[in-house]
Parts: sequence; structure tokens; C-alpha cells
Amino acid sequence: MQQGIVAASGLSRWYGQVIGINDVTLSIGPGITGLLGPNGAGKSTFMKLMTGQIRPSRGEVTVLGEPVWNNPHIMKRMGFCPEQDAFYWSMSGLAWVEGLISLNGYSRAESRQLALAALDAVGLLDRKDDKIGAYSKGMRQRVKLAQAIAHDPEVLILDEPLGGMDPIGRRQTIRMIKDWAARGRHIIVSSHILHEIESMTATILLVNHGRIVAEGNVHEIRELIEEHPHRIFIQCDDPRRLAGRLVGWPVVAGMRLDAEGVEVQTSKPDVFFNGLPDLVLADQVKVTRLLSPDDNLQAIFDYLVK
Amino acid sequence: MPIYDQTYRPYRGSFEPHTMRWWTIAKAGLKHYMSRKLFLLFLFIATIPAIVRGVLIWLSHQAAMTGFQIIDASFYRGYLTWQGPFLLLICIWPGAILIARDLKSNAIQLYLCRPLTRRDYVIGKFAIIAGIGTLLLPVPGLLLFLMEIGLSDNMDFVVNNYWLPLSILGYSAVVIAGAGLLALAASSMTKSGRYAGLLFFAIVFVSQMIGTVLRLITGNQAFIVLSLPEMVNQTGSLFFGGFGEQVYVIPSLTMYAALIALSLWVLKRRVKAVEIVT
Repeated sequence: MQQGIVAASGLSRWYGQVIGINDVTLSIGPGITGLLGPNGAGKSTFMKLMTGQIRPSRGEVTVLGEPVWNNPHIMKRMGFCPEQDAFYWSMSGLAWVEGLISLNGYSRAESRQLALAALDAVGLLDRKDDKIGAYSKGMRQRVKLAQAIAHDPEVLILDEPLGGMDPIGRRQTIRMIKDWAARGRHIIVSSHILHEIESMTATILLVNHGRIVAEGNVHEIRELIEEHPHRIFIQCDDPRRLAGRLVGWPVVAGMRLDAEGVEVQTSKPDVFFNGLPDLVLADQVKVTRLLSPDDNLQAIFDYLVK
Repeated sequence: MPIYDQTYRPYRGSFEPHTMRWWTIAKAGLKHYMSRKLFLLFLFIATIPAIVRGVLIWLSHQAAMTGFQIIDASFYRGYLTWQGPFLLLICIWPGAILIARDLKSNAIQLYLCRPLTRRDYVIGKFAIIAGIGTLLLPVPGLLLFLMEIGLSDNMDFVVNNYWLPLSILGYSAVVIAGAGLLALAASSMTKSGRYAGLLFFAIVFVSQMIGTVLRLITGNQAFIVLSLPEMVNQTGSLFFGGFGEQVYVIPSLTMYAALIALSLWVLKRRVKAVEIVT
């Protein structure tokens, strides 16, 4: 087994005939690591395996060198923020966090103090006595974060922590995650949105169809992606004239013409987007729509697994 | 310029021992219900039979009332049997909602990502029912026993019934264990506390109905062991005497043990951090 903050060896988990995670061997190092993948890729399964919530069908996963399954003691050193809501709606935020913290073995006074500090850290101190049922989606996300950080864990596992947050909440949470990492904690954070992860860390794991598709520095992975042609669809009033102009442009690697517009393939989308306005203006072509079908994470995975 | 240590510094304070971690769940649950007026009213009503029995003990010691009430093992067994319906209600509310509510709110995953095992979780939930059940059955039973000793002029009662406290405790433990685990098992079968309560109620009464109907149709008394209330009644003979008359004690006890084992098996299967649908 490789050693790391989190290490997996031949890790597999399937649900009947559905594969959640398939033969994953990896080692996650210190700091922040982003777990990226489209919905249904296996991120949540991997996180549940890391937190000992489900048993591996095959293989093993360790956190801080200790096996996770059936090892409640390691949970003292871990914090987990699940993707799903998991609340008693009639409880106040403070009572909920305090109750969960007390399960770690802290005294009542200590639990309250830790809960208050955690709610302060996520910006919910002034709403601590409100019932969770009255919280907005973003506030519920933050109170979930509070219960994960309150006992100051060494390893923090956050499953889609930014889901449902407003832009200010996202920015605050991203800053908070980076601050924790700067203070020596290790964070594994999942998302299906690439730029969210990029704003937190350069170290990522790409998961798709239950397998690790790519692992390492996000910039290296981006470069890898950029070697593949990128599709851009331009809807315009005169596709044939526009296609004639595009043929002579070196960044265009391929083209498909239809009655609505032109679909271009380019390996340098940035150069293409920068140059397109001048080209369109020069020919007086009226562009009504510009689509980039490949500008999403699923497309990146499609490229990587081809 | 001072340089501060920015590395991770773990908590250096003390923790409660892991063996008592279930107590945190039990404590929170008991505190929650004990703070509800409706529940306190229920507890008060459930205490009335004990008060009545206390009055009977007192009256039996009044000179003018000699022979009014014989205080013996059957008096205490009668009290515990009388408390059965109250325990049944406790198993329906709050018993049947204890796990169903956590399943509904996905809370089990948050319990189990803490230093807590599934066993700790189930013990904690069971301890809520057991704690309330203890207030209804053995505590008043033992107080009534002490009251009889206190009012007695001699030691005859103690000498003849020295085993009664253990019987009260043993019988109460068996009844609470069976009913409590069955209620938790029913609770773990559904996300709705209401349905879980109905399921528990159905198990108790359907078993009684089946046992009675089969006994009446076939004329075979052995079918009473299919009835859960009768199982409990027969088990009571083991603790309070009358073993010879109640010929189905061992089969009832076996059925009762099987029911407890089945409840534990259901809890093992159903109490999981994540519901796996295959």
C-alpha cells in the first residue's frame, strides 16, 4: 500500500451490478486535493469509503496510515461534510453542532465552546439559535461545514461543500479552506465544477466511471486537454461565407457546415476566441449564437478517456 | 519578530472513554423527551398504578384493614404486568421514531463519521427506551418492595421474599429488552416514525391474534407461544414462580429469545451510514 494522507490499494466498491469505484490505487499527499468528476463519477462513493461509511467490496483505504473501515478511533482525526442534507430541522444550528461534537467525547462545556467557535468560523454565529429549518440552502451548507471543522480535525473531507452557496459564501468558504490548509490540515474536497477546485488547489484527482482518469497538477492536466481539438459552434446568418474565411485560419483544425452555422474544431480555443470578433467584423457576418459544447467537465473526461 | 508554529496542533484535553460514547446519544434523547410537557404528563399517568399499589400496601398495614390485601410475589408481578401497556406506548412513542427519524434526515452518516460504532449508536438509542422503561417498571417496583419492608413489623416478608428484587429487575430487563429492541427494529425498517409505530403495534397485536385464533381452532394450547404478550406473561412465571403451572415457559422463552435475535439481526442489516439500493 502506498503511504499518504489517504491511500487506496485496489479499492473497489460496487452496488449490485453498478460500479461505484473500480480498482483504484492512489496516494493523496498533504494539503488540499480536489476530487473532480461529473455527477455519478464515483466521487461520493470514494468519500464514503474514505470516511468508513461503507465497506470496500475489494481492496483497502487508509487515512493517516490507519485503515478506516471499522476503526472509529481514526474518526477523531477526521471531519466530514456530506453532500446531502442531514439535519434535525427543528433543532437550532448551535444545538445540532454541539450535539454532534459531543459524540467525539468532549464534555458539554467543551462541546459548546467548540460549536460556537465553528459557527463563528463559518459566519453563522448571529444565527446560531435559529432553527435549521429556517436556514437558507447556503446557511445549511455552512452549518454542515461547522460540524465538520468544530473538532479541528487533521483531515477534512468535504463533499461538494460549495453547492447552493451564493458567490460571497463561496468566496468565504474557499478562503476558509485555504486558511485551514495553511495551518497544517489536509483537505480533500470534491466538486464537479473545475474552476471551483482550481480556486482552492492545483492538485487534483479526476474521477470518471469509478476510475481515476488523471492525477496531479491541474495545469499539466489542462495542457494535456489542450492537445485535443475543442469544438465551437457558431450560429450565424451566412455560414458558408464564414466557413470560407475560417478555412484559411491556421488554428482551425477541422470544420462542419450546416444550415444554422459552422462547427469548428480547434486545439487553441483561447486564440480562436480572441481572433473571432475581428474575423466576423471584417466579413460583416451576423453571429447570433456562440456555443462551446466541449466547455464542461464531462467533455474533459471524454477527451481523457478516449 | 516572533515566528508562530503554523502546523497542526491536536486537541490536548480529555475525552470521555469510548466505552461510554453511547451514553451521549442516550443522554441527549432522554433530555429531549424529559423536557416535553406531553411526555411528562404521560410519565405522571404511568405513575398512578404505582401510587395506587403504594396506597394498597399502606392500607394492608392498617389495623382495621388486616387481610385487605395480601402482599406477596403476585402483587409485584401484577404491578409489572399492569405497566406493560405503558411500556408498549413508550415503544411506539418515542421508541419507534428513534431510528426512523435519523434515516429520514440522513443523520446516521453524521453519527458514524464520528468515533462511534453502529453498536454504540444502537445501544444509545436502546438506552433511551430502557431508561424510560426503568422509570416505569423496576424503579417503582423496588420502591414498593422497600415500602412493604418499611411498614412491616417483623422480618417475615424479607425472609420469604428476599429474591423478589432480583425477580423484579430480571423480569423488567427481559421485558424492556424484547420490547425495546423490537421497537428499534421496526423503527429501522422505515423512514416514517408513524409507520414504524404502526408496524410495532401490528407485530404485537397480530401475533396475539394469530396465537389466539390458532389455539381456538385447533384446541392446542401450545399456540399461545406465538402471542407476544403471552410470551412475556409466560416468561414472568420464570421470575415470580408458578413455573409448574405454566407449561409453556421454555417454548415461550425460546420464542422470545428468537424475537430478540431477529430484532438484532434487522438492526445490523438496517443501521448503516448510507442506504445502499442495489
